Amino acid sequence: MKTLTFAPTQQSLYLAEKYGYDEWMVNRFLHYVPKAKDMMERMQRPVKRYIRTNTLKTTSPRLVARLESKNFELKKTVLADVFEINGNNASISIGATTEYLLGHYYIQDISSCIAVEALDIKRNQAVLDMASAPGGKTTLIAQKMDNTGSIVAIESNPIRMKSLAFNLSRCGVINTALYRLDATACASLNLSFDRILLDAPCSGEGVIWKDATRKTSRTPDDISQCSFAQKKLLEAGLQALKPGGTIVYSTCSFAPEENEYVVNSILNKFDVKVQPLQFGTEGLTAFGSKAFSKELKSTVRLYPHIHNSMGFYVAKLRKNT
Amino acid sequence: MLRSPNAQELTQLRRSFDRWGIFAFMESQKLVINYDSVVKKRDVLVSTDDLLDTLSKVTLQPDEMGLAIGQIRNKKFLPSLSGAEIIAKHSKRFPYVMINEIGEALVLYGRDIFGDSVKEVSKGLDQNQTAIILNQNRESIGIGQTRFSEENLFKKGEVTVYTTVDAGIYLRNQSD
Repeated sequence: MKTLTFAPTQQSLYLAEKYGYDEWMVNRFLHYVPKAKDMMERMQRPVKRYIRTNTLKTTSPRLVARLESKNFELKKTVLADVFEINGNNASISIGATTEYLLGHYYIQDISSCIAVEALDIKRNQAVLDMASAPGGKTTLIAQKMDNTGSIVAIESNPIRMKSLAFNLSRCGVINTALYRLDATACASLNLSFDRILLDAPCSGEGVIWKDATRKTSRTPDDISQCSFAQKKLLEAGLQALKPGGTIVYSTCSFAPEENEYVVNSILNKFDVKVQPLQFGTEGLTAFGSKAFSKELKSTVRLYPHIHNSMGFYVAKLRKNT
Repeated sequence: MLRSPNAQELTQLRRSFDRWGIFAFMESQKLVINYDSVVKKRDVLVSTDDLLDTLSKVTLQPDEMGLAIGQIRNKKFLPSLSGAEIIAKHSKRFPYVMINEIGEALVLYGRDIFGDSVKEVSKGLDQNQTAIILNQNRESIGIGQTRFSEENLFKKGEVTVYTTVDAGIYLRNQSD
């Protein structure tokens, strides 16, 4: 599928120049990001940082008390065990405290926690995490399961696999097995799962806040390639999902080709139903001349300037048969 | 190769767990041995019944699984950082050296422990003994080897405990 681009306008040229983006990218933002200028403005400012309590090792009140005694200011969020680092007068970085090293918390954007929240995981379930490194979501899944049941975590990159293993160990996770595999081959394991998380590799438009090189380092072809790979991954995941099971598909991109297009194509191929989600702005039901299923309104988009998070997309699908 | 501990290994582990004061806790845990036949290394892992059941249906061995809590070496269980954490949390009698905040910061950079930082040690701690390094919250932050016996571990201006492994490794490995 070809990535949709638009003829340059005065506004797109001006904003691209002002904020240092490729014009084609800004022009697309103007078509699908609400108040796109505000978003680009927001992404100029420092990134918001969040931590998530690892309840396998401690409790939120205990963690907050310890970090506050070290002069970190923590602010509650919409999620119970997730805190925004509001201010930091501490002499050390939030990623170097004893509590961090002992696995009492994980530094993780709230959007990632929302994706795992959407899985609605229960104790003793069988869960597949299809692209698991560096382990933020995997460790959160383990925590939601209270270290019961089983998690199969797949990662194809051997270097990222190492950080995944370290993070699982740091967080005290016992219910997970790691496989170095291409996630499209997950069916070769011959297993079926109650829950699957596919946080798909993507063009990363939503993490420009963290990595400004992405303002100019991607091309429309990259988005097309990602979209193709994401569709394959989602199909592979659905094949490994039990009937009645739930798969959550997420990306850290705003591009409709990587999000609604992918999910829409699946709706036409599998007996699945989009499930409503609690947090975020509703998904698109059209882009350019392409209309998507109305069900996609129940998927969600998270924007830096609206939700104070990385840019993110989440779709929750229930497999009927 | 992943397998259940054999009878001999189970006896060795139980004996060691008893010595570390975690026998009762470990009886409720599902143990797995990851045996590397090339270097004859036996890692001890903790897992769940459900995970083992899942893995029994797959011909492909996982690259990693469960939580590595230590090794069996010379018929003894040698705890890893995760094993030391279990011991510090669940045992009431184990060899330890408790250090102050300055010592804690240094240990987490992989440094050895000066007697000046030592606040408390377990009774009967011997020279060249493996001991768990605790911070003032009684949390395990590493594992060390004593240079002296109990009464000399507080010697000022001298390294009295060698740090063999510490929780700072998580950070140092991330920056590799």
